[in-house]
Amino acid sequence: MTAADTTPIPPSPRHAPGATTAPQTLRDAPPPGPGGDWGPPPPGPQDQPRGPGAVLAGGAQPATLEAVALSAWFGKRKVLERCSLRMEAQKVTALIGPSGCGKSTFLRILNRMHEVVPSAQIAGRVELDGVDIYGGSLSTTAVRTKIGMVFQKPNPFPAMTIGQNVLAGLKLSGTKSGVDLPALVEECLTKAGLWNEVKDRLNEGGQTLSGGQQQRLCIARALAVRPQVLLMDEPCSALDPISTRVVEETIVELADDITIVIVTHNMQQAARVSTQCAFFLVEDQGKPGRIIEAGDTRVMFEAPTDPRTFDYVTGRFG
Amino acid sequence: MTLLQFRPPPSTEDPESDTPNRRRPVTKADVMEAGYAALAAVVGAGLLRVVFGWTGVMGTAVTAYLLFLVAFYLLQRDGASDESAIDRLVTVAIWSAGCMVVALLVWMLGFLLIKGLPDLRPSFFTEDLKGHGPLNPGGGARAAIIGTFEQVGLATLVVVPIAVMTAIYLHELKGRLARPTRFIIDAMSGLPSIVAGLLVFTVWVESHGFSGVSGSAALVVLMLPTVTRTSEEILRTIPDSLREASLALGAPQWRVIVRVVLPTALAGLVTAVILGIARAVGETAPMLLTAFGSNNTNVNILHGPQSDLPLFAYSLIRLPSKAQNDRAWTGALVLVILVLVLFVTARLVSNLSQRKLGRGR
Repeated sequence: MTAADTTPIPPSPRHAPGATTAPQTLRDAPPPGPGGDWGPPPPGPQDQPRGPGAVLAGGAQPATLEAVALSAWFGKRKVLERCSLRMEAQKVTALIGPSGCGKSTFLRILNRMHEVVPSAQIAGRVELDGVDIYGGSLSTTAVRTKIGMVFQKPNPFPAMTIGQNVLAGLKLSGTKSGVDLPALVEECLTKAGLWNEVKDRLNEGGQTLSGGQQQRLCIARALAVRPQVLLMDEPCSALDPISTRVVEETIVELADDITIVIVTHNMQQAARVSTQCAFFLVEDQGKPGRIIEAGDTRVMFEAPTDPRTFDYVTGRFG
Repeated sequence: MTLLQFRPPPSTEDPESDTPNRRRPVTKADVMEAGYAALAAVVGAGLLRVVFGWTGVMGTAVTAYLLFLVAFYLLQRDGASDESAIDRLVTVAIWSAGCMVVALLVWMLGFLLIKGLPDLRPSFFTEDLKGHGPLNPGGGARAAIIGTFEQVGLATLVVVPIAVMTAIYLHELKGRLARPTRFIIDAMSGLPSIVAGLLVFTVWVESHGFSGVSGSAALVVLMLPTVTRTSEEILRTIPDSLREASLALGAPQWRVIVRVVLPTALAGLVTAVILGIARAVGETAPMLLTAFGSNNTNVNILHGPQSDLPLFAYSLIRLPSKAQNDRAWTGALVLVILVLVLFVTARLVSNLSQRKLGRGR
């Protein structure tokens, strides 16, 4: 199919015994739940069955993230209009669409990272298992420890070693639980598919790694604070095909444990890793971005209802 | 007439050899041409000197240099294309500009070494001027060295936290007063040092008398803008992606600054502080009005006139006796060595901390 499928991958030694087992062929991702994940959300987000090994050692449980009628402005310019999307627990939701359609903004709103831009404003709600993350009950920092994020460009902390990078989240968020730190480092690096490559050099700087390794280090770093949801903003766009493949495998494995939302420009990637998909589009120049269609990835790619979705996923534009 | 003629000439070296190729070897002809150009320049400048009756050396040297450039260019253009002649001409001009700067520095240091080295004995560091007459050699700069360390040290202790916190305010917090603050700091950095001295003199020294600490106060006024602005520039070089990464891990802003931004910026901040110290340590004008200077060793920074190295050099070089002037030169040499040691230490420290993490290669 694609080159990456036939490229021999060096035997990946990262599947340590005891690690969660995952579908090896990416296309074999488990079929999504009852058709029509999209639409009015079914009541009660807690009725998701949880697979074996889904609960992390630290006790964080996968949660459903739901955006309700989300609009966003930068200053006076409206960039998103009434976007509603349900991101199911233990699934990978891909946000696709051409550049500038608001997918990254949408993603950043999901863990309040848009607040870094002072002129950003939003309307609507984002609920994590029914709790509004913009309500008074959760602080910004608490939201971000529950909903982690991996960025487009790998950004390990240059003043820290590899090991310190993994644990940086604990120190930065001030969660000093009495956990076994070396074990946590190993667990997170294993989950991120990096342990075997770096286990002998944990005391080296994070920037001595290659780009793909750095990105997996960033994933490990995000996992160490035991988030319930992991947001990924084009995590592979700066990586070569082999690193991309490894990161994608990691994503599919992680989906057993946590909810993943991924923004991608790469249609094949969306098809390979996601179980649900949402298509964003700016319909006219100057208008805010909207969700045109969302639902089961297979349906979105094979039989989309909206012609614009069809054009986009088949490469007619964008 | 094909493109092949633009091929570089075949290498005379062994094709099997594994040494890197020299991109443009300097041939014997090149050396000859440079020699001819130099000869023409010297002869031309000499002629002009005779014809116009110049007496200074400087004018002749500049003329000779310009003539050399012209002759060199013409010779090169004769042998090769216009383009490569211009390339070589600019190369020569840039190299000579660089050599000029280095020569100036070497000349200054050499002068200082020749003048100051003979008097640099261990006793120079252990004695002060008390009891040493103006005509006899001997005596030393103990008072001045102690004074310099105390005054600059105290000023640095005060400046570093204020400057770093101001820089954080300006670039990390981006508060509402950031713009006016930056404006005032820029204005402050243009403040003539004597004005800082006069300020402290009027506010404090007139009523309380000379003291080392008033000298420190003047130095604080002078160091603060330099260190603050340099620190802000350093913080600017830290990529925003690191701040975002930390925020996304659930860090409050103060932890982002303390745990990520400052450690990443450490090497640069150390350099900023060293630059500020280097500026302050050589200040003379404000110290005349505040610390005043003294022949005796005064360890108490809070009370009484205190010497420091610039004051030591300044006051002794104005005296008529040779012994005093020699001490002044040695004092200046010690000052330069002090600054040099500071710079080298700061470089070493920041290099070490970076190498540990595999950066800065």
